[in-house]
Amino acid sequence: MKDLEKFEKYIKGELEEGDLWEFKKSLEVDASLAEEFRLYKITYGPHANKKHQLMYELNDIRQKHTNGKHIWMGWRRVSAIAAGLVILVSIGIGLIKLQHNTSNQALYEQFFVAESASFNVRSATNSLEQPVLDGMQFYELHNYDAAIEMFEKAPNNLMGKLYSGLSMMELGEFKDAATKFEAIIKHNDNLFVDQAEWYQSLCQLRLGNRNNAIESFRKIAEDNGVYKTKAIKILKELNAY
Amino acid sequence: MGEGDNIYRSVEILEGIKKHDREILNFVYETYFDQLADFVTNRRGTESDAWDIFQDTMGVIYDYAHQQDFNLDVPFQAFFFTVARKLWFKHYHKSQKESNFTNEILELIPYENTDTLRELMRQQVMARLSLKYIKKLSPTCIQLIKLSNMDMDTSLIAKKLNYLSNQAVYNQRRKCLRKLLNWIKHDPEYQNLTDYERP
Repeated sequence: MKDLEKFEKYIKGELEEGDLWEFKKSLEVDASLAEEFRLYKITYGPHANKKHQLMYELNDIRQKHTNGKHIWMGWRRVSAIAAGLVILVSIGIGLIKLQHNTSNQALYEQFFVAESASFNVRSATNSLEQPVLDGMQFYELHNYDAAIEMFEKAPNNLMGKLYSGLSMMELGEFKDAATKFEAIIKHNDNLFVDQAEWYQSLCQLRLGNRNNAIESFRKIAEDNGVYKTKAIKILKELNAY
Repeated sequence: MGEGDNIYRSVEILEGIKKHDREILNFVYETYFDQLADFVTNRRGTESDAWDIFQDTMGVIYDYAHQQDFNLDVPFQAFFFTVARKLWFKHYHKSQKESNFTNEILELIPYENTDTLRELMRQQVMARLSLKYIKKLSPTCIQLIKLSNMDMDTSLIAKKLNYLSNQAVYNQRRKCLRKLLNWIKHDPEYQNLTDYERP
C-alpha cells in the first residue's frame, strides 16, 4: 500500500493538475491500484464511519436479543451440571459449594445485560470530561481495555467509574468492578447509584459472595428504584424472597 | 409475513435504515432475522453464517438507500430477502458446502440490478472486514482513524491526541491505515472477493 498519500490528496482535492491527470490515468490502467483505492475509500472516510456505526448498532441489537437464548443455553448446561452433582453429592460436601458457584454464574449470566453507553452519554451534561467520552467510544466498540485506560484518566468522574466497572465486568474482573461501583455508592449524591448498586450486587453474586449479594438485592428490592423488579426476580431465583 | 402485516411501510423502513433509526433496525431484526436464520440453517449454514448474511444484507440495503437515484419499488421484505439470498448463495458457493448447488435459484430472483448489487455486495464485505480489523488496531490507531473518519480537522486531532504537528498526525494515520489495509488484503474473504464479480 504505497499510494496512501496520493489517495488522501486525491480525495481532498489537493492533487496538482499534472499529478491529478496522472493519478486518474493510473486508476484506469492499473487494476490493482484501482482496487486498493476502492478498499481505501470503503475503509476510511465519513461513509465508512457511518456504516461501521450501523454495524455496531446491529450488533448491539443482536446482543440484546440473544441474551435470552444464552440464558437458555446456560440453564441447559447448568441443569446438566446440577444433575451430575446430585449423583456426586455423596462424595463430598465441597461439591455443594461448586454447585452454588455454578448457579451463581448462571444467574449472573441471566441478569447481566451490557449497558449501552449512548443513553447515558445523551442524558449526561455537556461537562463530561474528554477522556470519559473517549472511554465511552471504546466501550461501545467493545474495546474494554482501552476504555478502562481512558476512564482512569478521569478518576473522579462518576460516569467514568460506572463504565469502568462495567468494562471490568465484561472482562471478568469482578472484584475490581465491585470496587468501582462501591465508590459510586459511597459518594451517594449522584445519578448512578441505582446502577452501581445493581451491578455491585451482580458482581458479589458472580464472586460467590451469595449472602452479601442477597443482602444487596434485598435493599434494592425494598427501594423504589429502576432495578426493584429485577431484584425481586433474582431474589426469587435465589430462594431468598 | 406479508407486507400488509408490517407496522411500517417499506419506504419508512428504508428511510429508517438510512438514518440508523434504532426502532426500525430493531423491527427489521425482530421481523426478518429468524426467517433468514431458518433459510440459512436449512441449507447447512450456521447461525453465525446467518448473522454475517444479515449484517451484509443490511449494509447493502444501507448503501442502496444512500444512492440518490434509488427507488424501492418492491415490498421491503422482497428486497431484503432478494439481497440476503444472493449474498447467501455467493457465500455458499464460495465455501463449497454443497456441491450440487446450481445458479438456477439465482435466476428466480426477480429484483436485481446486477452490476450495482454485485458492487454493493463487494463493498459491504470490505466494510465488514475493515470493522473486523479496526478492532484489532492499537487504541491510539483506533482513535486516530475514528476522529479522522469523523472529518475532524487535522490540527484539532493533533491537539487532542498530543501530536507535535499535523505532519505527525498524517504519518501516524498512514501507518495505522497501512496496517489495517494490509490485514484486510490478507484476509481469505477479501481474496475471494472476485466471487462477487461473477453473475
